[in-house]
Amino acid sequence: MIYEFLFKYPAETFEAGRLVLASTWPIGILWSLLTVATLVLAAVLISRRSRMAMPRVATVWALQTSVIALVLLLLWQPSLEVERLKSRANSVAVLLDRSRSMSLPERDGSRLGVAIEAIKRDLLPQLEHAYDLRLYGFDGALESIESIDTLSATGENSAVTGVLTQVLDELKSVPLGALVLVSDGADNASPPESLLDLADYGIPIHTVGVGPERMANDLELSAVDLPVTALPGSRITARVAVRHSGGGETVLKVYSAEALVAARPITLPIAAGVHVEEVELDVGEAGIRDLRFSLEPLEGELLLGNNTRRALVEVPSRRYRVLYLEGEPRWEFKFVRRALEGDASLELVTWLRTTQRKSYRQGVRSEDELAEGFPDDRKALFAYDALIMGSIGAPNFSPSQHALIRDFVGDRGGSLLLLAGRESLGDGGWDVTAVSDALPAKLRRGRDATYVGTEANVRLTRAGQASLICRLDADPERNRALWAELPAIGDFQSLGALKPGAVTLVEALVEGRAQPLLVSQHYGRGQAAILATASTWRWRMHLPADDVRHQQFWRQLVRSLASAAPDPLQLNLATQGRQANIEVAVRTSEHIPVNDARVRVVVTPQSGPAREIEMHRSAGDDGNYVGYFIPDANENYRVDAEAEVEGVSLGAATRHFRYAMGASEDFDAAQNAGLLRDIASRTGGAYWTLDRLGELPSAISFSAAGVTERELLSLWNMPAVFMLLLLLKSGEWLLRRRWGAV
Amino acid sequence: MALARSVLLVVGLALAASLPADGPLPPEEVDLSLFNFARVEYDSTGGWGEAYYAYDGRVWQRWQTDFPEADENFSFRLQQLTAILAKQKATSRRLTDPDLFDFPFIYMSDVGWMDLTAEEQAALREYLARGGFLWVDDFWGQGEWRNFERAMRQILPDRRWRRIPDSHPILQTVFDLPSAPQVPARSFASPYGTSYEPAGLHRRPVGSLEQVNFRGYFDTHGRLMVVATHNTDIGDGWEREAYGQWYFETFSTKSYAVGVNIIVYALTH
Repeated sequence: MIYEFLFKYPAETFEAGRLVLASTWPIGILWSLLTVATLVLAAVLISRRSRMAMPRVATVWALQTSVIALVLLLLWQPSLEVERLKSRANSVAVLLDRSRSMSLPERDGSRLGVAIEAIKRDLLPQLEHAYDLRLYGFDGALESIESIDTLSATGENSAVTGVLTQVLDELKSVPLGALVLVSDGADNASPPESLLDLADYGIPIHTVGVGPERMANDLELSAVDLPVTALPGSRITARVAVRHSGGGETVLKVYSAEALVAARPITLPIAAGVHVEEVELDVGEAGIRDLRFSLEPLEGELLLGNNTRRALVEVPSRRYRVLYLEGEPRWEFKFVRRALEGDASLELVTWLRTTQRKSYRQGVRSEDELAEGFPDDRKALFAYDALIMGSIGAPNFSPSQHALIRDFVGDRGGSLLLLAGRESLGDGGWDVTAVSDALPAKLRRGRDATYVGTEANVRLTRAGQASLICRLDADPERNRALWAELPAIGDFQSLGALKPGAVTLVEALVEGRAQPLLVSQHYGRGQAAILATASTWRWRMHLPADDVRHQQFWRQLVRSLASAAPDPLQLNLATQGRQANIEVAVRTSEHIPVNDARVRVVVTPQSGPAREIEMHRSAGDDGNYVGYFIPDANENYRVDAEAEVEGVSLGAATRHFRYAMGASEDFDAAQNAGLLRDIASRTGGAYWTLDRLGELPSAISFSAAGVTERELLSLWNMPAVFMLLLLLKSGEWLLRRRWGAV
Repeated sequence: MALARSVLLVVGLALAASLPADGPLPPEEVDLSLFNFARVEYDSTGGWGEAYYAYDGRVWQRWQTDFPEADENFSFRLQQLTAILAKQKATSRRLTDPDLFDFPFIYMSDVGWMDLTAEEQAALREYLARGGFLWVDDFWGQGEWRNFERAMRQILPDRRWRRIPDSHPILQTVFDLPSAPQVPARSFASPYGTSYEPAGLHRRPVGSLEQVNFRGYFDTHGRLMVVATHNTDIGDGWEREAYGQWYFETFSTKSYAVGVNIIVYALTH
């Protein structure tokens, strides 16, 4: 107010305007007069200075020159040239957010209620007077309204930038001066690129933020991350992110069909932020697990809708095929078979060399399977999901079979596990084959055998402690102890240098030195692992009959390896706002991408008829087909996909997912001031709060969009000018009096 | 009569004391990267001719029958005929030895008078429950079978022996055998005689010795965990392979074949 008193106009007027001299007299005359006046004044003061020192003379000269210059400037009519929207010639659109997050309580009512009151008091009267006012309510969609009083905060989602784009497109043919967006900034339904397009319209968007920028005393389960699928009887890890405003205690509970399956107390750090916790769950038998994750509310917590999230985990009843090749009958073979037998998720096929010329097959589906030994074509080998190789040397295979094993991992995405043995790894000549490309270690081979009979205890590495493969107990301390108490292994094979991508899960303490025992790495689409011992059978024979550690370890290891292998047909789902995106990757049985498949996708809602979704090739992605659909309701959906080429089936896949439209409104409840400021700055508008809403109409008037008129605002009669003149003159008089010149 | 028996016993013991005797081998470190053929040491009831006997210039305890030559010959042949690397030196253990569980395969011979303590029974029960495999060989007649079966009823009270059919995979793991062979001890084998031993050497009641009984105890998954070759002496076929070409060709080859099959079965099931 003081500013406006001194300078006649508000600060934004000077920001929007340009200083000009309104007089028609040439500016050259002003400079000439000023120069002459300056010189004459200097001559007069010097000639009359008497005993006054030159610096003082110069000071007086400067003050008198300033007065003359100011007077001369005033004669040339200094003015502020501004462009304003021409009254009654422009439209201004006001968009008010009516999504469910606007129903959250504020001190004097809901966010929407408080916003409506402020708009009606401070904004609309001034805008209605000068512009053609267009009112809109929006959530995920835009709606033109007659009055903001009719709005209620019930929208299931918010598409802030999306609706801005929409209204700008709609009003293209109208002289639009500005947009005003009143919202808490929660945007969970707009296409991601819509923000970037807003500046191109050239219309300033003023954003008004509603709601606190930080929620106090609120917990939010901001994310739950867990596998989409899991094997029956397996254990999975769910990572949950908890957004909090400070320290506190809560309990994370996990329900499956309303039965409590896990509970984990959480102590939140003092500093506000996002805290991540992990909880382990047993998925049980085959089927669909509809899981509900829930945080116990803090005392006095008001917003409870963001304390719960749901997720689906599919537990398919399929069996993964594992081929185990062994070069010599030995105890490890027997006890690994025993450990994996009876696992409903695994189909173990074994080929054992019993004599130089004889083999013994178990678990084969037909007499022909492996009758000729190890497969020598992709189709036969790629039918397996995992390959375990024991003490069988590289010379027993052809070079093309070596390459086939490597491609099994790299191309097919299968998993390879090598066990120790006198004909394994370096001692078996594998270091000089194509298989070595896939392995996590640069195998050693020298004069001395790398495979030795020696006792060694084992222990988990840090990575092993975090890995579900090595999880013998959910409690980390107990798990560590269970591993430490295992009987010593009775043999070991040294590996050589590990490759950069290798991860060691278990170490063996061989002659006091820690050596990698279980190590793996990703290679191409698959992974390869080495278990540098063949005597884990001692974990069976040296522990009581009811101890399950040996079986548990082997089942977890092989399940992890086998289930990581992709199927020839893969179906992936991802929701983006209201849209569910579908991607189908199609490969042959030799895992070669297929670009001319006929892909059929059918979506079946929990309550409703099934419908087919149009799919088309994804450009640039071999073998990938994409499509999408818009779910109608919050419920579970089943998606079935199948592919064929020339009548030959390439496979089928089924996925389930849960659509929860509207649940997003409960989350990220704090005002997204960052987005609102970004929109304003990109478009030439400004960010406002409700308490400053009265200043917005003035700012809108300076918009460069729409129909504008130029206005010259005179500055000569600014109180600040008179005060400056008075100050200069009185200052000169006081100095001269002090110096005895008056 | 009683006096005569006592005199005979005293004389017999005096003679036995003067004859050389073998016992268990000194314990040595086990190489777990090899297959170890481990024989079980046990005590037997009775006296001379029951718990002990003299033969071939030495005194034998029942558990030692054919030991160590049979075990070492078989280990050599096992390595020769298969891809298995076997320890060549014979090994023996008591059921209560702490490192018994380093030998997932154990062999017993001549169990007709076997007498296990409660501790040994419990140890064998736990051994089998963990996945261990037992082969019992070289015992003949009803009396010796009953003694063995009585012991097994203490060890596996919820299991009963079953006949192993000729079609069972154990007879086809490496060699295709029509049935379990009958192998007499070398001293009773003759090209003109029978393949079974005389009844007088065995525990009464003897019954018929003509038929080989290939029997076993199965676990809950249908896997053999105890195999009994009754009315046959497979071990002697190994021990006496060098004692004559006819015996080697007629019986040792069969002994090795069934032995290889049983070992490979134990290593694959």
